[in-house]
Amino acid sequence: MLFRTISSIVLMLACVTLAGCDKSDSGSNPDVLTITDVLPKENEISGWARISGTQWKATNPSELQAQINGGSELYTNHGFVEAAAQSYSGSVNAVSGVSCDIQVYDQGSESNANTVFDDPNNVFVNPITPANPPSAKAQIRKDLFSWTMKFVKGRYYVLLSILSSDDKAQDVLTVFANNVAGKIK
Amino acid sequence: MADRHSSRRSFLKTGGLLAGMSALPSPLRAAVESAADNPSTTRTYAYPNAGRIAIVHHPNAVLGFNNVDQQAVQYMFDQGIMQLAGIFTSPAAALASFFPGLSTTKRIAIKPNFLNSVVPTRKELMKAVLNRLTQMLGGFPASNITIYERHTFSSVGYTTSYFGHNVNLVYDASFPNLGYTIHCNGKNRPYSASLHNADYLINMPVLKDHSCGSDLNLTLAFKNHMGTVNPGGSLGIHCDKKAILDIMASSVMTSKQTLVILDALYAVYNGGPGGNPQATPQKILLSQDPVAIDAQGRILINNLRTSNGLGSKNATYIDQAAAAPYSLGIADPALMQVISVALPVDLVAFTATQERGMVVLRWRTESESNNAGFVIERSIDGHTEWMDVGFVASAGNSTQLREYRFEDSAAPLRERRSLFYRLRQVDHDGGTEHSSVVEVALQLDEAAWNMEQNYPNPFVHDTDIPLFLPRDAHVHLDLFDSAGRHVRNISSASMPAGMHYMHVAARDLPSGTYRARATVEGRVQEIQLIHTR
Repeated sequence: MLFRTISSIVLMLACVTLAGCDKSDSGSNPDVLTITDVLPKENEISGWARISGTQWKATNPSELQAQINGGSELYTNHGFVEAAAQSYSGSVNAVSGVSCDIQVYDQGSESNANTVFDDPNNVFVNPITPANPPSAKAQIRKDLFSWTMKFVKGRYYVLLSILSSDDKAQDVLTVFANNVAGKIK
Repeated sequence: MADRHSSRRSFLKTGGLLAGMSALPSPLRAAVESAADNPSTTRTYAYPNAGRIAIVHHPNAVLGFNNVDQQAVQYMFDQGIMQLAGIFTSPAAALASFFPGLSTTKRIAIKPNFLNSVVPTRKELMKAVLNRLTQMLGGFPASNITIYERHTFSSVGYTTSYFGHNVNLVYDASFPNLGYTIHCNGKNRPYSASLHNADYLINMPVLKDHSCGSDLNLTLAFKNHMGTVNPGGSLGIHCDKKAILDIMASSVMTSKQTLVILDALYAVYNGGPGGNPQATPQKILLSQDPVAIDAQGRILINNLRTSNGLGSKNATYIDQAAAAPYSLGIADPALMQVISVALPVDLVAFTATQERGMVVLRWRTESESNNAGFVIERSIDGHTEWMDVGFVASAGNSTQLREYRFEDSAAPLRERRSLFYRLRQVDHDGGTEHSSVVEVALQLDEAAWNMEQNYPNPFVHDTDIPLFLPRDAHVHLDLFDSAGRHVRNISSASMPAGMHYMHVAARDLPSGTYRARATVEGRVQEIQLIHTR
């Protein structure tokens, strides 16, 4: 009985941190909560489907290195706890097959997440503050063929990019970003 | 051999434009931007031809996101490798010169980089390299070529069907300790089995920056070997400057890595190594010196960063690699021999050759709009007194390759050692634009026909003897052994003007030194061939 009570408290605390966690997307054990729960589910954002085989999760520096090689140092230098990523496919301005990638990094504290955001190796050129930003610390930039957004919410640093240079693509990024941010309390 | 190389290049310098262009797709505007007085003679470096680097630019190589013109990239590679080698008989011959002791039993490993599957070593560039590798020695076996990388091939379009060559694609990520290691920063680390089993290595990185501190914040030739050597594990060396310097200085690398080809078609200059393309420099850089490659890559990245309001990347490992005790190559651009190869917009080839008493100009356009045509201009010195000698009308608006030709039958062939030509492209609305200048080295007299040194030499089974004829002639070519005995006749026939490659099959001949003697129009030339087994 005591064990069951403690378990319930732990679960409740986890759900406070990762609000909106939908147990239906958590694998066979509905009580297990992971960082992947903040990633939008299949068609949770209308018209955007998960691209199979693109999800990864890293729970230590070695696993992160295996995914992004030396790019991991940006995160492991600043309190990295775990990360998850997923790619999606959808349409932008009637052009289908556009991919949108999301990477979520748990940096252990808001201070660490802010440090990643502000790292000199992670500066955005000509940053734009997005309309309807997912958090107070958010930037978006346009690259040659794509848009990229980064934001901090709590102890999470989130990086999103969409492979379309269409101006409407930044609206899609904002929808994704707010979806993710809404699950982080 | 050194004398022969010198002799060969001397001929090419004076007559090579004429000779080479008759057989090759184009000449090019190649300029040596800066050149030290052969820096490698005054200091010893771990890699050959330190500081010599070719930088090739094509304005239409990249057509959009994940869209590269294979034909343009092939052209870039061909021109770059010939310029780097100083050998213009063929791109394959030029490429082969970077593999000392090459035979068809040797094995070549290639290390691309596709950690970032959105900005990988482009499959088009890899295909261009493979096309020429498999032409070496008259047919180097594709099965002896292994491309290894620790990321999946399918995500970047690397398939044998795309390449058209049955090369080995090895997903090499496990790095089992099979008893061979590279010592780096105090640790012996296993490295790629594919490299271990190879005789030569081609390193093909991508132009990207990196988030590793300030000492190692570019991922170019050096960093690409975080994947040749196991970089992971609890003591990962991903951002370990000492480790990457040690790797490039290792005997494994210095003995096997013979060429570095930096793919700068796309670039990530901020926030790499991941992310989407942020620029399209549309360049490839070729060198045997990994330090020169990374130093020039640093310039490209920092130029992009500066123009976008970002601070420069230090990447101090490059300067440390050039300094003692490493002395791997040259980092100071002022000490490099930079061969810059560029093409004017839309005009992808422009050649001039002397043929049968006239100068023949050929050029190609990739696209045309509002183009009325081309005025052909000729000069005796390439700088002054340009005169109009003809006009060729445009074939109309096009986005396809178009071929043009003009014959200058009034060229003063007997009065000059060389002539210079350029095109003045004229718009329908009167606007004009000049092409680069091409030089025709004129063959003035009977001595103009020439036999070059055979390639390869020494050779195992087969070799080719380049022979240039300024006009139609009867060619008598014989092979003699070291005792002066006639071994065989290679040619006794009338041949048209132009460049010829006289094939010598010697599988049935014993090893030794031979002489090839050519007799054309009553004049004799000889070269010495070395046949080994």
